[in-house]
Amino acid sequence: MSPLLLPLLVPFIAALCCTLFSKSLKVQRSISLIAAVFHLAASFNLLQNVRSEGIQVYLNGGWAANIGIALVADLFSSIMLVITGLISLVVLIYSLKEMSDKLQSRAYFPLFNFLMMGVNGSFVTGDIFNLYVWFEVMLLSSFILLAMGKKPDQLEGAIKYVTINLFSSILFLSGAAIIYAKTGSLNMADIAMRIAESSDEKLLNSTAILFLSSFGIKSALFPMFLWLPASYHTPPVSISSLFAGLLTKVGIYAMIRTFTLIFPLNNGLLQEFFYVIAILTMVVGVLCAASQFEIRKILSVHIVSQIGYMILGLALFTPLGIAGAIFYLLHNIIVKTNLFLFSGVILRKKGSCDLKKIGGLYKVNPGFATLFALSAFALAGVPPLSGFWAKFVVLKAAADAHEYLLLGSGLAVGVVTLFSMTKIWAEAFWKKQPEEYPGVGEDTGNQPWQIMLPIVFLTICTFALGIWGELIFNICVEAAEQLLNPTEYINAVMGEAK
Amino acid sequence: MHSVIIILSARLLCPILMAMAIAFLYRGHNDPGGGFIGGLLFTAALILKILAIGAEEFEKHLWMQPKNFLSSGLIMAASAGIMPLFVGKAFLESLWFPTFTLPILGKVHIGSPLLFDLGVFMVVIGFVLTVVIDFEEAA
Amino acid sequence: METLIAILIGILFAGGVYCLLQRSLVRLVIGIMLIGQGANLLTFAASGLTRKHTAIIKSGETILQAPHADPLPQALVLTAIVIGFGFTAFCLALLHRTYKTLGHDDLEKFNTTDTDK
Repeated sequence: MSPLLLPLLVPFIAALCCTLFSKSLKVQRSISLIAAVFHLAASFNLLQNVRSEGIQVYLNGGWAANIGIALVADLFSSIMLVITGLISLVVLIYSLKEMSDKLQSRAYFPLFNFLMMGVNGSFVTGDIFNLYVWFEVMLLSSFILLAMGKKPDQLEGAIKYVTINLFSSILFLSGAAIIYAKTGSLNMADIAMRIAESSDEKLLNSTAILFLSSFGIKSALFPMFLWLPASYHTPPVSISSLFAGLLTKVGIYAMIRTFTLIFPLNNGLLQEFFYVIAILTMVVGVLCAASQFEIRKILSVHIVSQIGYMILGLALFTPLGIAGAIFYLLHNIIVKTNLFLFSGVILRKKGSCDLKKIGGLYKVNPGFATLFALSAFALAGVPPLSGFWAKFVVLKAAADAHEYLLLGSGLAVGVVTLFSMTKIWAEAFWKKQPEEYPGVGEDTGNQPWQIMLPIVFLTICTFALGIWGELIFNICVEAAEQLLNPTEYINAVMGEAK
Repeated sequence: MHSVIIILSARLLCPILMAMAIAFLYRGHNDPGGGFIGGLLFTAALILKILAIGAEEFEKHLWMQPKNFLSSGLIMAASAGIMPLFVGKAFLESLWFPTFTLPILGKVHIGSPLLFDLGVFMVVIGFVLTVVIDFEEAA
Repeated sequence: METLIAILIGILFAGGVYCLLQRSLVRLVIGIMLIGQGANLLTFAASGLTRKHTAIIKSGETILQAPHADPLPQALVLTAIVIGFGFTAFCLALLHRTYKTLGHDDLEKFNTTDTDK
């Protein structure tokens, strides 16, 4: 069996088994845990294969690449698969204790596995319409997960999330239809080849804008990000952290894939447009975040400003910029998930995430506070944590390209991020518990290992990514070079066709 | 709610619709039809029945929960995809039994695409029934 | 024929956007459905619309007869319709649940998750 199929089949079979044993939570938990471990192992295996043997291609149903649906894994996809495997395992362990049994019994495990299948599918597919289908798989599971529990807040958030995401899917479908009408192919490598020969710039740019707006909504770019802070803080914390870590990043993945392979950004107009969007996303996101007082909302809006850095890396379109964007993606997935996991612990201890109602966490539990500080400062980009190197590389790429406006706004946004994180630290951990609020949650004692292990593990990852970042950064550079020379990708896919 | 017209027409129409649904499912590989359309037709018959006798009465006649129907359909479709892997073919590649002849149907092709379509058929029925029964009971 | 379909797609998109901008939750769902149908029609029309054969080799022949319709957009639009069908069912369920929980369907009042309480 091809190593490419495993990251898809493992979550799929796990989801099916979970629906079969819908009566027993114990069985569902063990199935999902085993599947998550397998998923991680399969992704590592795929990364190894890609590194040793080059881009992997699998042709479904035995059809040629430009006729059937091809699955393709290059370095970028396999890196994303590995990080997805890691996050899914960690969040799964965390959710075992964080979510009540009642919520878990509402088809949580099948949906979790379907969501993972959708995310993995988006990473490995080499077909633009298939990418749409995987997006829908991912979205439908995420819709139900988001509305799980059916609290008024959640339903309201779900309506916003569902409407805007369906709209973005429709834009994507229209884009795919137009590109099929234009090139007569749906395989991304084939499309890239035919578009390179085509000269109809107006039609190409308009299709590119359709894709940009669709993926822009999914990855919460300025000015289409307002659904994100309105919905991400409403579901149970495990689900928010999974969404915050992975879902917007799938949008970024799709963006990087399309705008390196199909519509390379080296034409002037589109690239300048990307610069403007990157700056506005960073700046507006961080300013919105600075005005919030609910921890999960602050973190949600920070996703937006972080997305700006990744788009900045992509927009520069240099090897260093794209490598920086990929490294930033990895760093951000780990740190953001971890910060959301922290907010879950705060919610359990204090019964609220509103900074005005909580305080004194440092005195109660200095160890936990230190772990939080490490992650928060990693997000803000304090050396030697992972965020510093991620920001450093992206901004270095901006400086190399003589884009000083981008460089300056990147630096300024970093400072405001630091302010936001310091605010959480000072309000939630440093100041005394406000007297008018009791601030006691349902679980004030020591947290169970299922909750603490993921947090400690992800913090170690952040630290390791900062100190031994060179190892991983080298892979990112290789991935970026692969992305910038699409010939290798096209040959790998279309060569199989001959 | 229990209109005589609907009850009588349901009694008449349901068997016809179901037979048509299965015919559509079978011919779907080369002609218009297939699992999704067949499944929708089949559920149309069942919804007519629900309208005639009410959701609670209908559920008493069910020998399998719609949700389980849905998941077994998924498993069938998935196995149709996975089976070719064991004989060294690609994922989702078609496997066929040798053609044989039956009295009424003529030449019969049976293979993994039919299994896949049957899975889709069951998924559609299970999904629509789950939704419709939920709505019918909430209303 | 394409011109007619193009105008129809435009009308569906315009009507859908108009419905999306209304204050009622039901219209929101109708708007999404209309735009979805517009996109489906666009996908269907992607390879041109003319009277041609189906792309199936008839029994007794070995190659496909020359003027045949492109089967791919038909397959794509079927997939998109199925997906849209699932989403419509979900949207209706969500709408129903929201109306029952919140007791109104006025989108102007849907601002509790945007503000600090």
